[in-house]
Amino acid sequence: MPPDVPTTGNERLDKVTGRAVFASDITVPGMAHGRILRSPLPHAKIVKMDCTAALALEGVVAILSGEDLADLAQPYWGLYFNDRPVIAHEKVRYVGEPVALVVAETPAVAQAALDRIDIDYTPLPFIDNAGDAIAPDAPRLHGNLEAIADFYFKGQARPVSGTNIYQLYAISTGDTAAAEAEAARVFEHTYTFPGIAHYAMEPHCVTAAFEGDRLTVWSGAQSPTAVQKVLSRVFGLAYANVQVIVPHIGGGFGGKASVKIDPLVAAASWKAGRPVRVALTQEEAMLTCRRLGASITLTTAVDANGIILSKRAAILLDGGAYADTGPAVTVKAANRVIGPYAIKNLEIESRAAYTNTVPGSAFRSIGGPQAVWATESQMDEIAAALEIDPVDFRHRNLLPRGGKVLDSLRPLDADISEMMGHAGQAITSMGDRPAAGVAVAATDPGVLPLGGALVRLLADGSVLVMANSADIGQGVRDVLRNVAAKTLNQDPAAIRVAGPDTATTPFDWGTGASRSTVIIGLAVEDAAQDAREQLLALAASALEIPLDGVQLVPGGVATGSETIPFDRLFHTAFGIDSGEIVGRAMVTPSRKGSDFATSPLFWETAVGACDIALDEDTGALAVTRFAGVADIGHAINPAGAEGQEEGAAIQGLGHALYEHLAFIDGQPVNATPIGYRIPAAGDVPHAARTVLIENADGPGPMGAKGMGEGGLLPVAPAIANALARRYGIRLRDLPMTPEKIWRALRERDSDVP
Amino acid sequence: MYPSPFTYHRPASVEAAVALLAEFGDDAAPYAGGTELLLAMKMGFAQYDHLIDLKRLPTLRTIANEGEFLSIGALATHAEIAADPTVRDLLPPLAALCGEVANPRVRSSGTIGGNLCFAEPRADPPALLAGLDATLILRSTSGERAVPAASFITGALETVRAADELLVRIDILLSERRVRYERIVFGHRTVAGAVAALGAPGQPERIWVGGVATCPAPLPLTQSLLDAEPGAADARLHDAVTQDIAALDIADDEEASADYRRHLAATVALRAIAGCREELQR
Ligand SMILES: Cc1cc2nc3c(=O)[nH]c(=O)nc-3n(C[C@H](O)[C@H](O)[C@H](O)COP(=O)(O)OP(=O)(O)OC[C@H]3O[C@@H](n4cnc5c(N)ncnc54)[C@H](O)[C@@H]3O)c2cc1C
Repeated sequence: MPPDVPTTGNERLDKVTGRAVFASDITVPGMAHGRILRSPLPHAKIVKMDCTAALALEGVVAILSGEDLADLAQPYWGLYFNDRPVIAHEKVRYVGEPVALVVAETPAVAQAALDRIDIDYTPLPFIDNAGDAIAPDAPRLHGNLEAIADFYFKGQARPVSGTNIYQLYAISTGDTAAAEAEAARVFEHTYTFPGIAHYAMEPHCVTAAFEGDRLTVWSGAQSPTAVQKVLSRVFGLAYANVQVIVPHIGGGFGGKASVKIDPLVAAASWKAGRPVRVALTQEEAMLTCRRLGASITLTTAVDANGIILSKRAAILLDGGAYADTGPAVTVKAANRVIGPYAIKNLEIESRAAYTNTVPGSAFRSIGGPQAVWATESQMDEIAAALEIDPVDFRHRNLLPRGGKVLDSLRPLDADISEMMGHAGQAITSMGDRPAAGVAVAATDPGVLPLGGALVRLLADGSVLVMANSADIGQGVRDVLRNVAAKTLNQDPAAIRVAGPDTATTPFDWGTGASRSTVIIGLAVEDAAQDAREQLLALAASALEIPLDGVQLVPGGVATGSETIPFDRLFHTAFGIDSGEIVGRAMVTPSRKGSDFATSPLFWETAVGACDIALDEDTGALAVTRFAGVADIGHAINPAGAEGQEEGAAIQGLGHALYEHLAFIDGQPVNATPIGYRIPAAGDVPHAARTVLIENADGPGPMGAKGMGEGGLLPVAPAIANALARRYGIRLRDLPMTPEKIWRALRERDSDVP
Repeated sequence: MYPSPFTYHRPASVEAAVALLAEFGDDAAPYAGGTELLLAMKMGFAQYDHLIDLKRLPTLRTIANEGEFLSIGALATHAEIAADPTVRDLLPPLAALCGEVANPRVRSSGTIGGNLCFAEPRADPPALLAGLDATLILRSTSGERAVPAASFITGALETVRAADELLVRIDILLSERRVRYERIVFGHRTVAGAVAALGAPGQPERIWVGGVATCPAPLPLTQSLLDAEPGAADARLHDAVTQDIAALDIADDEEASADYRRHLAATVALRAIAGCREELQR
């Protein structure tokens, strides 16, 4: 009789029945609530702050402000520079910056107390766009800051001293001047890309509880160990005394990566001597972080046969008030502007500058959408000018599988030509006309190969997988469950994947950069393999049979003649039917069997193709068909993988057509759910296809590559290319609103002789 | 995030409701579906010490064919109007519009009265009802008065309703006119809407636009042109509409520039007229 296999429940059911616990659901005994007073000015000195009246309000527990910072071990923190105070200190640098945090018995009292805080500011000159930020006489946001090396990402930022530029990154190969001199044509265009809100369904929520020199934080954090690291510095605590617990997260997209409001909320608990919960509103989330806006000028030289000879790119990113992970965004924008093309001569300069706006930060494919928007738009512009079909023009210049985008990077591990073919077929399978617009992308995820897992096989045959990967709705727990199930030959239903808890789950860098399936997938695979080996050895010795005479079967071990459930095996081995086997693994850059020496560990590739319909009277555009193709090596969780591609494409639709976190005179003008438009169900193309290429050639378990970001990249340029091809208008500024389209149509019609 | 504290009243009769309004005046707001009111209060745009909940006043939600008029209670929700057989029969464009505005959640709790009294410049029903020569019935402790829909809204979030008045119903003149309402929606907002009510012998032609200026506006030159020449050629119609819209006070905002909005208004007005004419031809 086969052993009974226990089941561990289904998290999807938990989510649809509302039982799943999200960061916002956490309550802690004795918990008080915090609300944040935010700066109304883009740049100002705080000259006076009087909290007397607020403190006098019944139910107010404490108020945290810049004055408290002197008592912290490290009052300023950051990932590349310690440029950000835990709470505004003497100065504010953007509208929305926290200046005081009221802790009270209820959120309503905390909110009411905010009005009673009396603050005087002296306005300072401000800059609300990157162009102004790099002007010679621009006001400075920060003094010259020391870059911290290898703190969160590898490497360090290279600020330009005496300026607002916090990162300058350059790539130079070959000789672009010579190439341009011999070129048949040289094309120069500038493309612009706005700041964009992450707009996760669940705004940031953190609950923090100080007890003496121990700090526990429940946070919707994508990078719990980064939160742990920063908190330990800010408060001078041992890592072991900072416990970060991550429940389910209602969407992240990078907006909850690295570290966000955790130091602020922890400081409130520290000040109040009580656990404190701070749940931001969507408006506040929009004032917490955003994608970096960009202006990108491309100068591309081609020969008479339509072969690209050289490319120059000048990238300027609007970094907002604090650097956050902007320096990494700057590097990736430079790498990602090249595209999967064979270009010998490159001259790329990428800069990010501080501005008095919401801090820029990581967002699904950092620097990718900005760079691909420019490059893939220009590819079509050049093709049109040369009167070459845009797909053909790409074929002429695409790198083959194994080709090199840059010498320093891993050879391309996908066949983009083949992917374009799939995209074209998918489009014609949904309607008669061929695709109107196409775009491709290959990006180099910044995957740090460092992360561990435990796989605990318990006596009843249920399995606990302990890993630090955060569930942000992407289905990572299904992936890890499937990997453990396969390696241990157990039923996936018997396996439970625990969420991150820095006190119990092994270190992992974080959930981002499309890395969890590969790195934590491998860690779980290795840990499960370790558990498997231990189990088989235990069985062989306890049952006194040779090692090759036992094998794992669901619920136990089989010896050929009989199947022994795990509890009986443990009984035989340990004397009682209890105990467990702990498999463990840590994936490091030198993992056996992996080639982690060159970056990226895999390429994240994407092709998008679309057809559109346009109301030429109004400029209203609808995407009628969309096809997305990604080479993901192997789909460990096929439904999840498809969902990621489609979700990314829909987010890309928002970037393309609707989204723009706008500032006028440093004031955010649409940072509310009413003013800010994201795609809704009705905006999604009715005909859509996702094609996943699976050649089992990735570095992850079963040949998987990371995925989930790429699908966003081709959407905007594919739509812009469709507009150019079908309607003769070229838009170079996102989003492509109906008004911009209408103006372009009018210009087109007035140009007609 | 949190509205400022208020006292909640739930009157059991319309008399009691208007009495409360008389007592508290400016400090009170009628609370219908709350889809605008609560949002405005939570965002700190509006503060009231007293909310007077109308939801338990069933007489305010009746919809009836009164022969000369279609009478719609102020508390009828968009969803109720959209599904009501009388409205669908007598005024299909109103039923269709109410079935389309906003989203299912808002339609099932948002009311026609709330829409009119909030006087949001992007709202659809105000222009449609003005074009239909509807009359709004307002009630206070001193009795009822009738205000034409055409003059009810005076600006953005401004109406002629006094603080102690309750909108109780809307009477819509039933006529032989063909009615067409056209709108352009980006996201969840109307950026331009227009109604054409044409073709009833002896009755003036009506063209109104909404969603573009601060309040709904008639297009007088176009109306006179159609009154004089029901079959006026497209080019002349286009000129009249363009002139009418040029005369409207339309400002740039973060959503759209004024010239684009004017273009959209002209586009919907011409579409509404064309749609109406098509129906008249049938
Ligand atoms: C997401 C969204 C999308 C929308 N899209 C559209 C759209 O496409 N087109 C459109 O036209 N509208 C749209 N609306 C507006 C919607 O129609 C209104 O929110 C709704 O009709 C308001 O009705 P309510 O009963 O909720 O009013 P409430 O919020 O209860 O009240 C609104 C105001 O009217 C007052 N009031 C209410 N009833 C009375 C009364 N009987 N007498 C006197 N004063 C009264 C209140 O005091 C308050 O000041 C949208 C709204 C939302 C939230």
